[in-house]
Amino acid sequence: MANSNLPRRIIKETQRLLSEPAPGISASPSEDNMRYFNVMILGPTQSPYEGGVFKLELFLPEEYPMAAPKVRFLTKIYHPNIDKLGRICLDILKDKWSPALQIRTVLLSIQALLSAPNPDDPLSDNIAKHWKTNEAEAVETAKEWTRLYASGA
Amino acid sequence: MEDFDYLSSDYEEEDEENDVDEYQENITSQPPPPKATTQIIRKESLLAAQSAVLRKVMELLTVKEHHARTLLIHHRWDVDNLFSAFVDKGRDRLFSEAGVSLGNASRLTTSTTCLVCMDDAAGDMTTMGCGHGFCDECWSQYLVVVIGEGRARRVRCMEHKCGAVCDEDVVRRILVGQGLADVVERFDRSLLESYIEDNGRARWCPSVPHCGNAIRAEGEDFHCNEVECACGLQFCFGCGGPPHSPCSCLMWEKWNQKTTDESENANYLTLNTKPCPKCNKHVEKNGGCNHMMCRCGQMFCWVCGGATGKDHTYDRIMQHSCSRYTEDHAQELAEVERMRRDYKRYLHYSTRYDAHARSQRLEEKHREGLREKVGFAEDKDDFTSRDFQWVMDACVRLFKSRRVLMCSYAFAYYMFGEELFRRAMTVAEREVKKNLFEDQQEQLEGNVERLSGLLEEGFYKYSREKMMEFKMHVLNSSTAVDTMCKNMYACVEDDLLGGLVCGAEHPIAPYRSGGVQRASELTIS
Repeated sequence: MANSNLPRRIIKETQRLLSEPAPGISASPSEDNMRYFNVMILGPTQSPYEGGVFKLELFLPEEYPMAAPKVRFLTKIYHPNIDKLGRICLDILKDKWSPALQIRTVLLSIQALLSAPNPDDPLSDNIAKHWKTNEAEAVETAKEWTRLYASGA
Repeated sequence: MEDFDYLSSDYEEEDEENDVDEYQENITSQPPPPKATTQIIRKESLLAAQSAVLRKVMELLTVKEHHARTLLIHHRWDVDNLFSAFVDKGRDRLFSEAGVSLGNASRLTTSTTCLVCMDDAAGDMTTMGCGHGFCDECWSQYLVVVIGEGRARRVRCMEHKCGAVCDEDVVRRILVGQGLADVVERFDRSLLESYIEDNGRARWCPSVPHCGNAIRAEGEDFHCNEVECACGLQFCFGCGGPPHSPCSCLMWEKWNQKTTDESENANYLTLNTKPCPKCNKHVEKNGGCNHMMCRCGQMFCWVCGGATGKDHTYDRIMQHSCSRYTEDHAQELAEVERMRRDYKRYLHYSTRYDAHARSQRLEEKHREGLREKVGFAEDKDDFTSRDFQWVMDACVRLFKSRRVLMCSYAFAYYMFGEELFRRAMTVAEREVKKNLFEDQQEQLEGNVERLSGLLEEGFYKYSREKMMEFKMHVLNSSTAVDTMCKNMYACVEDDLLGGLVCGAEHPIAPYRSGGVQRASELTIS
């Protein structure tokens, strides 16, 4: 079985994620593959994503924790640092990854990214431009998308 | 300068010397700038070259070798830059920015939980100089990944947001302790080669297969210089490509892209074909009327490219009227007209560039024949002087100037084109500069062809008198070619790029009569 030689760290992290989940975040491993997690993040209050339920997938590569987990949004989202394939522009998922970080810290950082979009370091040029030229309108679009795609239904 | 006489260059210089005052003033007021010099760093001397720089930093800042290395890697092996940062920022900031932590690494013997694997690590925890400790197994797994990814030169501590660079000796100890001697070897090699790869003043010789040497440059303007490695390869220090002056590296890069990629094919297609409105294949008109039929059977009008029906009369094509003028149509035509002009312009320069490239290849072959001819001549008894080195020298001069001439067309394409210098000068200025350059180019071209023609003569059969005359011609022609090259480079530097604001973006490797500068062997003082 592929899961039998799962590193102790992954087992411990999984246990803790299930027993004491972070507020607004749930992550549970898939039954066939303990390295694959189904994640849900609630849109933070006072953000354009409030009220939305966002699904993500998280995968721990063979080198984890020496290499960063791979995370992607499955729910469509209007955000300058997330592209249409759901890929996320976040430094700790790239060059600022440290083995001392955990799944929990990564998901908390993503939640924080929803509260504080950073259009100066964009992944999606169009959305970032929209955000910088007309923030009010961009926020409206983000709210609209949240209603359309992340209503949890 | 009209009707240039091959012998007059010397007289001209003497004429100038008549004005003694001015001449001397020139000497005293303009000390020659320190010339760029280049040195070869071989596999064997790489360690010594690096150590010499490390020692300097270790002495001045009183730090250990691995700290000196971390500092130098951060400052791209530029000692002056490092020292001025030391003066400006002070020791603490200099060290923290480069990731140097002066604390001592230590081993923990009490049982603690490693925060990476979350296991209790009894007695095999290592704390780096920054104070963060993890178990040796995690450290080694991390090091294998980081070194494997080619980041051996800045192995950071595993702690989040800790920028400290790990102590080299500790890295080695941990890896050896886990039986990973091959990773240590890779780590050491990477640190050694950093001296070339992270160093703005050094680069590997681009020879293929690689000769193992690197070149280090000193002095001003070191990046625009053409050098010759000990293996014989000549290259531009700035870009690593073949010598390309009087083109700047940027011009050369663009020219290479243009001549090798498909963009010119695409231009040809735009200018000479029209896409079929149905199958989109490019159709070339091979005569006849403007009512076209594609191989797929679709009919279309050649004038506007629109689809038409099959039937047509002399005055009308069914389902079609393109004779009516619209603004869009006019714009489209203007665009095609502009492309046609650009394409013709490119063709002008590239044809000449290619012609000289071909001549150069032929002359390269001809060199063997020339050696043979020299051999015949040397075997003849009726010459008092048997030294024919001047023939081979002239041949070398021919190669060098042929290359200059070839590259001068790529240079002219960009210098007088829209791509790089559109806003740098007015149309009138451009015209003046262009004429100036083309005069130089024309003279060089004439002299190069004359020299090439001379060297093709069957001189080994000549009588003694005729040979003396021939020698005179060859020497004069050689000198003239050399002077022409010099003049052309001076024209480029002073008259063309000199007055332009963006001229500084195009440093040109200097012309050297003796050919590309040969890098000298490294001496460590």
